[in-house]
Amino acid sequence: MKDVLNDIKENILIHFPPSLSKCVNNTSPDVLSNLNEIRLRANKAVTANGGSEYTLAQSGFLTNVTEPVIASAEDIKTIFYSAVRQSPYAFGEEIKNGYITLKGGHRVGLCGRAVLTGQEIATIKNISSLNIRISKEILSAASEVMPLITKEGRILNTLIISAPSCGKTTVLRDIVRRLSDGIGCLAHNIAVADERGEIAACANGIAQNDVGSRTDIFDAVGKAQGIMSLIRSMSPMVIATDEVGTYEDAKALRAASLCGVKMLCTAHAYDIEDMLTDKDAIKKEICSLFERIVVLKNAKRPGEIKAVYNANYERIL
Amino acid sequence: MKIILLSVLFILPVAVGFNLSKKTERCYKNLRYLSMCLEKIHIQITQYLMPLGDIFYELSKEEIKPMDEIFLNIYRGIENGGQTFKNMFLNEFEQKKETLGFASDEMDLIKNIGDLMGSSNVAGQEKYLTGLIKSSEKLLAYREEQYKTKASSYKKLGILAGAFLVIVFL
Repeated sequence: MKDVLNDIKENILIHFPPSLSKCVNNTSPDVLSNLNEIRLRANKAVTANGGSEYTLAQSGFLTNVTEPVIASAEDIKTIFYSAVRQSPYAFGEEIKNGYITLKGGHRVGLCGRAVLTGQEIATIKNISSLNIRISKEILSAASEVMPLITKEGRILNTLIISAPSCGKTTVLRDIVRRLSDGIGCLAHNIAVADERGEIAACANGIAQNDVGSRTDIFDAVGKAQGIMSLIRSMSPMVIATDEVGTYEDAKALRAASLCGVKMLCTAHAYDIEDMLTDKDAIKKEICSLFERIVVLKNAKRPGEIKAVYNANYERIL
Repeated sequence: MKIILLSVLFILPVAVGFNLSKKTERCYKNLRYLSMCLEKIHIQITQYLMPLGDIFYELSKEEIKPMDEIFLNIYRGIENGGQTFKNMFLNEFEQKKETLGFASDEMDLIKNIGDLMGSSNVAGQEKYLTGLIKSSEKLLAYREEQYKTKASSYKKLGILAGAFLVIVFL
């Protein structure tokens, strides 16, 4: 398991200008290791979330702060350029999509002035806000879910749904690792279409998170495109991907299921009703491809199960 | 005693002349290498979208002294994060200014490189780097001219001045 404190210091605070990183470093280890996100806005106080709301003071992140530390526009710029290794041209797609993935799988959300080409965002300039989401690898996150999504040691097509920040990706990553290493099931060859780099968190092609020994990662590729390519190139037993929800995703998943490849996906939804009553029926179409739908609780610990449904949408847990 | 004094009188201007000649040569050769690197960087950025850290690391492996050390430090600066490219690039060259033999014209070029390199998207980089390459070529042509004419002149002048002083004292 990752040492969260070291991970935060080595992969996140390294990008902060010394004036800010010094203050963050003064935070108590307990608070720092439990943070889920750090938010920086130009000329505003630096805040963080980790169970409670924190504001940065000279002595670290605290709940009650009278003299908060203000992030300047220059601080934001320094962090942004440092996160893209001084090479924004090399992160064109990520910037266009509004986030950059750091070493360790942490994600920096970007906000500023959009530059449009027609209706599409070409890039973001004058970055004024950053939301750093701290990735946490929890190796026991899927222990509860595993018996419910396997049959005779083999994985069933599984969709994990929950509201944002409930641990979908954490659970997905741990399922991938367990399936890949054959922990509590047969070992599977798995291919991961990791569009946002949050599952494996590849840096220079090497997975930073433990995703098992039989896992191939197709990094920074569109899900639909990645799934089709992986079926052709790697002939996996299981394909895993994060946050499906478009028509193209549904089409690619259907193609995968027709090829006999098992699927392991996540989607944003509050409950199964949310998926089945989707107006344009895409989410319903996606649901129809899965044998198990796992709904996660909005709990403190990621991976707590709220309900599990079978292919007929009958609750089995 | 007289021989020693005459030797010193001869050696001093000769050393100054040779030093000036060496400086002109160093400046020209390092600028020529920098121009060559700029062209490589241009290709790596616009054709392969290679991040600056990786580019400078590759350049440092070419072991052309003292540039390899500068490039390695820039690579380390980028990987260590928390500072702007502009500052780290300029600082590294500022520290090695004497060794490189760079004058204010070269340092202005360095400042412009620091300001513009990596600061924008690919289209911007294409435009900026083309401009920077042109500026460096122009400066290089001037330094080449200086190197060809002045470098040997400094040596000759040094020897002549040394000889003149020796004759005068004799």
